[in-house]
Amino acid sequence: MTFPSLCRHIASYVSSVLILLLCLFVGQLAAKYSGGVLPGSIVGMIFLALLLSLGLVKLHWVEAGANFLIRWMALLFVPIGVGLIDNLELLANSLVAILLTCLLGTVLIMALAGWLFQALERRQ
Amino acid sequence: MSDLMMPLFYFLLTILVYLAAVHLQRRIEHPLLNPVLITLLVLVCLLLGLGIPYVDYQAGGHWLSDLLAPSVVALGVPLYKQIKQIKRELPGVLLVVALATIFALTSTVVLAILVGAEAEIAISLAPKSVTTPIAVMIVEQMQGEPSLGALAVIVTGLLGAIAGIPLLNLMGIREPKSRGIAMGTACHALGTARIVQEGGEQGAYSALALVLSATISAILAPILVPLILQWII
Repeated sequence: MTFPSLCRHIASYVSSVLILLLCLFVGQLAAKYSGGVLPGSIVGMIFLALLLSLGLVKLHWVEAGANFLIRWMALLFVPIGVGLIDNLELLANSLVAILLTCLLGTVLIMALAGWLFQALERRQ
Repeated sequence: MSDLMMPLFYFLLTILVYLAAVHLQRRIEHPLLNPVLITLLVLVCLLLGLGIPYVDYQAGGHWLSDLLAPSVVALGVPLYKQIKQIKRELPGVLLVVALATIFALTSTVVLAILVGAEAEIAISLAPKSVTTPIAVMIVEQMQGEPSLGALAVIVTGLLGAIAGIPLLNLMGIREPKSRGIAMGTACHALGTARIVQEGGEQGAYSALALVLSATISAILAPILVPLILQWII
């Protein structure tokens, strides 16, 4: 990697971090002033999409860092899942209920969403 | 010094186990070898076996959890790209995903209570069709148990990755966009990762549905779920 391209590479990550943090900050402000009704990170996400569609933020300013975080998203929630070790009793008592709910619920939701959109497509 | 060493060790251990699990999945392509599921199993067994309490582990683990909020913000990038692509059909997609999301929250809570779960568990399961970081935040906000919520999200996602495509065929959902929306709404990122292998159109609609359903859930769940619980119990 040549020196200028390395610099561009680093700059693209630095600008990503700054923009993501700015959007998160805006989201958290909105969450605070809505009394916690609006979820901060979601508002931040919509704010970022808005900045992008208005052209105030260019895609290549933020893409490097965003793609990096999204690629590693699955890893990020492992520590929360590990919290299961503090809830083993709760888990053991309701494992069957959890599995049944996930199984039946997923089938129902999938059917409803698929059929609804298919019906809508056919009408048009 | 040792105040920092152990958290750093747990932090690095989590990353290493995860990388090994990703490597394993690439070698043996099987949907049950989901890297998150493997990493969770390994870490849970290790901590329980060595008698390490969760608080000690989380001293390093929270460095990863703290990145969840910025990673949700980062989803704004794919959201922007998909909206640009799908502009014309956005109202229809929004309508269907909104209805399906309300149904998802309602049916999950009702089902959980029907099969005998307590209210705390029903709350934790409610956002099971939503991508993990957002689901965890929703559960935290409603004072459920985040780790149970995370588990329900993985189980749901694995179900989509393994059985989603045969299920869609069985249900007669053949139109590609509808297949994508069904998968994205019901089985979030894991389902999306599977349906995108079938075609780019399915993938794009699935990804859009997953972001939209997560957003709608985050806004509605804290209001809707307590109401449903009140009504049913």
